[in-house]
Amino acid sequence: MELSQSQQFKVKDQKMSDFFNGKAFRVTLQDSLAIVDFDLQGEKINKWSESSLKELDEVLAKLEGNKGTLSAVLFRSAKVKSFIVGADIKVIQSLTTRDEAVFASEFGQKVFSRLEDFPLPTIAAIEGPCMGGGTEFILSCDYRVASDSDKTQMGLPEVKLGIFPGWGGTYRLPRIVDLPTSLDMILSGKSLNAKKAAKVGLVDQVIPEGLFALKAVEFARAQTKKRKNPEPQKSSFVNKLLSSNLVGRTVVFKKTKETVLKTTRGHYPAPLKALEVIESCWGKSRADWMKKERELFGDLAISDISKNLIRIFFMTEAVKKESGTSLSSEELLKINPVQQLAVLGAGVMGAGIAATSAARGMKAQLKDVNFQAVGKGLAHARKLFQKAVDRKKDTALQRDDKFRNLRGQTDYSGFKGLDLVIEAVVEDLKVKKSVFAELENVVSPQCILATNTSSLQLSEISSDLKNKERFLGLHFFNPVDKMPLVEVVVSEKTLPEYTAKAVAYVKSIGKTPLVTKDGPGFLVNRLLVPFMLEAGYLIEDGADLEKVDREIKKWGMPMGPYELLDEVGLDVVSKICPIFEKALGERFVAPAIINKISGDVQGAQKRYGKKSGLGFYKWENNKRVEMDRAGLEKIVGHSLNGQKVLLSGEALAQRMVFPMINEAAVVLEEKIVASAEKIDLGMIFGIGFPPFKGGLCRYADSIGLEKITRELERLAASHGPRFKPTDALKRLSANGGRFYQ
Amino acid sequence: MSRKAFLVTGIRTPFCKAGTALAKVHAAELGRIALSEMLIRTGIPLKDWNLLIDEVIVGNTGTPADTANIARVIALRSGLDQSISAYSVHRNCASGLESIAQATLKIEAGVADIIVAGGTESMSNMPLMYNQKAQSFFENLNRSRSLGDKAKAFSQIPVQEFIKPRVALMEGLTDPFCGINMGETAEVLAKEFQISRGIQDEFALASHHKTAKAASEGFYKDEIAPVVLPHDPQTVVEADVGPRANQTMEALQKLKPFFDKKFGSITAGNSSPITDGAAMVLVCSEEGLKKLGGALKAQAQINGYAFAGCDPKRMGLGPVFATHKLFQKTGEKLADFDRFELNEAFAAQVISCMMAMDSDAFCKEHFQTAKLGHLSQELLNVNGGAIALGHPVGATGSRLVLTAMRELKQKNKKRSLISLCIGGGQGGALSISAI
Repeated sequence: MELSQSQQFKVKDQKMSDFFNGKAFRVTLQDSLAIVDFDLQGEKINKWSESSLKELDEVLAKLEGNKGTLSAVLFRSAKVKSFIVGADIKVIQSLTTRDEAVFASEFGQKVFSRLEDFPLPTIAAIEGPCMGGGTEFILSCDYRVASDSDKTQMGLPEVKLGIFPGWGGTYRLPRIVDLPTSLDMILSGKSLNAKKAAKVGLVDQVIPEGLFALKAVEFARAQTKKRKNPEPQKSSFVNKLLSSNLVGRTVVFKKTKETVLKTTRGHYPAPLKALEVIESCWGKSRADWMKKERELFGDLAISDISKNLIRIFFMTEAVKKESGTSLSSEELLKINPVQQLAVLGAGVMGAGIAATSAARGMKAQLKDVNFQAVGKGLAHARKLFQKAVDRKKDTALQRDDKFRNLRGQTDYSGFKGLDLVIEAVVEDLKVKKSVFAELENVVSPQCILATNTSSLQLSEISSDLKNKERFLGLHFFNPVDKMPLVEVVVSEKTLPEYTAKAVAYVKSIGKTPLVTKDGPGFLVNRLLVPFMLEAGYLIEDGADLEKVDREIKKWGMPMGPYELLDEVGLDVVSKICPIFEKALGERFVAPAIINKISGDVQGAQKRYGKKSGLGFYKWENNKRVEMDRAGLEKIVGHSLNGQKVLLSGEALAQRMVFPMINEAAVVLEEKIVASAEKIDLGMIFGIGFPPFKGGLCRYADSIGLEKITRELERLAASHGPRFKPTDALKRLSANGGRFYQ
Repeated sequence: MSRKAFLVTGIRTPFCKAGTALAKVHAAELGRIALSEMLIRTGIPLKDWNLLIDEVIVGNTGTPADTANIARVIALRSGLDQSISAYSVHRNCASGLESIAQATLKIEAGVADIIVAGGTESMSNMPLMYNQKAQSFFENLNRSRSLGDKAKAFSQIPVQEFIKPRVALMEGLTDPFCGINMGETAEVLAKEFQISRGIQDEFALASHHKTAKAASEGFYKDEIAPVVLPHDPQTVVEADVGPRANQTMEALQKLKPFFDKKFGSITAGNSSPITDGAAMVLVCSEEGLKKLGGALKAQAQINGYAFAGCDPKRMGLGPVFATHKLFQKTGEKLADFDRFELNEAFAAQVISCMMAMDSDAFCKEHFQTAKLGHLSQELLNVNGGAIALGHPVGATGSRLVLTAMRELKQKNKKRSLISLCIGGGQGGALSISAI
């Protein structure tokens, strides 16, 4: 007997008829059930645009006209395991006037309200990602069922783009799930899988993937009544208590606001505005709520912050698709992915790289000179894996599987079978050169040899290599498990196949690759060093260092310069300063004070920063305790009370960030990276340059290069030639005055 | 042309006395480490191995409850592809030899070309089990539905039974036919063959000294892969825990007979200790070697193997029966061999085997043939044996073959006979010759 699906799950033969056939929607009638399939033509995914919303409106109108013969309407996606990814972000990006933005919001609100008011029961059957406007759409249906597929995700990630749900999402979500959960979803933008969505009451039923198509229709057939005045079905006792009365809600709103301010430091208005809509409209009519929602949405959608965040979103999406080379797609197909790699040097960096690779399923060998060092590195990796268990992200079995991907060793055994070796030994040219000389003899001819150097140049390290074609840099940032960027540094000799393979490797371990050319400090450190050097000059000027850190963070940097110096290590900084000065001259002349401070010893305690327990700050158990102002004043020989230097955020930014911009112009001219966009990507993901400012170049453009050049000239006159505008900056300034043409 | 099986490479973990360095490592993890180490050290990428390996066969006797088919667990956790099949074999003390025999059989039969064979055992992790009365209590508790029933069932908790668990290790080492412990079967032989305590202790002493000497001369360097303890990565186990370079006759003589206090001679000192460890070897056909593309060379050829049964009460004589059977099959004779690996379960048991092989009366009675011949102690277990290294039951067979293969190559010898006695009254033997 032959089994077919229809025999196993006999579907009653239904009378099927086509009802509507559009560019986005197809409607068929199965007896009295109308099935609306979203199937956007010419696209792999479904998304909302003006035209697809209009067509939905049309579909709804046509179905309303036939309500007498219908029992319910089921909405599905015809795309494979992808529901609706949201609104077309390009459309949001193109909104320029407030009226336009408010209208765009109002239009979606109207269509979705029409759906909410539809005279018959409406059901959404969700399988695959359902994001943003997709989630607002399902919230407007009476019932929601979801497939338990791994791909199913529901969420409102709008805040990540500097906006909030503007199609009734702020109004409907708190009516379906409880207030604390709604706020969490809208303000953090995090999404839920089917199981979690069911737990909070966002979906009514979770259906096993294999039965999804069948059971979703069965569910829809069984619905005969519209859901009247929905209210949260699944709320914990505490949440119910909090949401059901004014006092509770006030507490919730207040607490939430505090948390938002703490995490955004006030730089990102979208979550606060969303909170304002929900708090001020609580208990009001739909019309009032919607009005408030679209007005605040309008403010956000045209803000620079939102535009910057959207640009960054597209930038990262683009990087995902790029190979970092000009190889054709056929040539790229021939490149085998990295599956086995080794990391030399089991320090925090080396162990971090090995652990990150192992966590993504690669076989990673960790080598050091003795098992004591290797064991320490493996223990570090194990700790990272354990963290995921503690956070309930992984099971103990997953942790063990990750750990099994690691192999510790003190010899070169097994190196013949590797695709990639990353060197992360001490930052010492001689040592690195001898390591690569050994490596050349133990790996296969196709194995990529990479260095994780941060301050040496590829040309120096590789000078004696027999084969320079497979040599490149993979510059990870500390801590490796958290920092999203990896600079893929290529020399003129590096073959594009190896670059593409390295880029693919970086992506496969969940990081963002940035292809840069060889040169001092590559991109990120080269632009960061002037920022740190200027921090040194500020000491000489007697600045209040704690205030500098505070002001710079207020300005938007994730860390103040002295916090950063302590993290990086003062010994490291004083070691790399001369390297930069030698390579790049005047602009990188280091203030003498840095060596003086890093050379200070208090008893047995060195002043190296976090790692020695003392730097600009006093540290205990890797936690900052307080600024060691007295100690520092003793070293520098004058007071650090800030009376002599101007310290407002913008003035500070001019001194610390303008030199970075000055250098960025040179970097761009030297084609260290391909575009200003890549500089911004590197700065945002490499050092956490404030995303709301759009990146270093975008920030510079917002001020205007002409003005920056003038300021630099002024600073050069008052503070020294290190500020002198570079020729590259002057050319850019004269040539349109912008990084982005 | 008949197909031959070849030993190509192999590796083992350190063998560590139960309760010591490897006590907290699961048998599957020991096997996983041995297998990954063997594959990685070849320098052939894992993705290539996935296309090459036909089968993974692993011997194990303890069968941990959470890894019923331990070979499959080891294979997948080593990073091998899901498509590669794997099965576990159990022939008690010769499980690690059975896996290699299975590999040989499959290769000779032409159904496979490249097979991973090995064995693993964590005797530290043999469980304690509830006895029948305690089990009935849990069954009753499970069956009671109402709260009252549950309370009633709970009131009948047999407290005294919980401190009398069944010890899997002891039960496993007890012969199910004659009801005596493995050590007691050795006592039977010691008495029947009238092997003095002194001779046994001297044999044991030699085992420690030979093992220690081999280790100090670096014989084991490439045989042992270090184990990074998964639960405590800062601890790396690099060497066997068991062999004592400074073992003395005085120390051995001080020990009391363990199984027969009055007339006995078997002590903890002249028996193999319970131990944790794993070993893996790669077995290939000629075709298989070609598939490896010259990356690896055959180290030894497998000439044949045999398993034979005998009196469970005298299981220690198993090697004699297996050797006889093997010789009948291959036409080999004792004099053809310049190396022997005869597993040292007990000193008395090894000596009994040598005496039985050299006895016309014994061989006539059991095989209706003349004696098998003289097995020179000079050629026996030259790098030491299980009295020093320990006997992780499921792994030992593979360890013996691995050591034999390496010994032939290193000392430029021709032929080695590997044999073990098997609890329950069996023997296993396998003959290899150098390439």
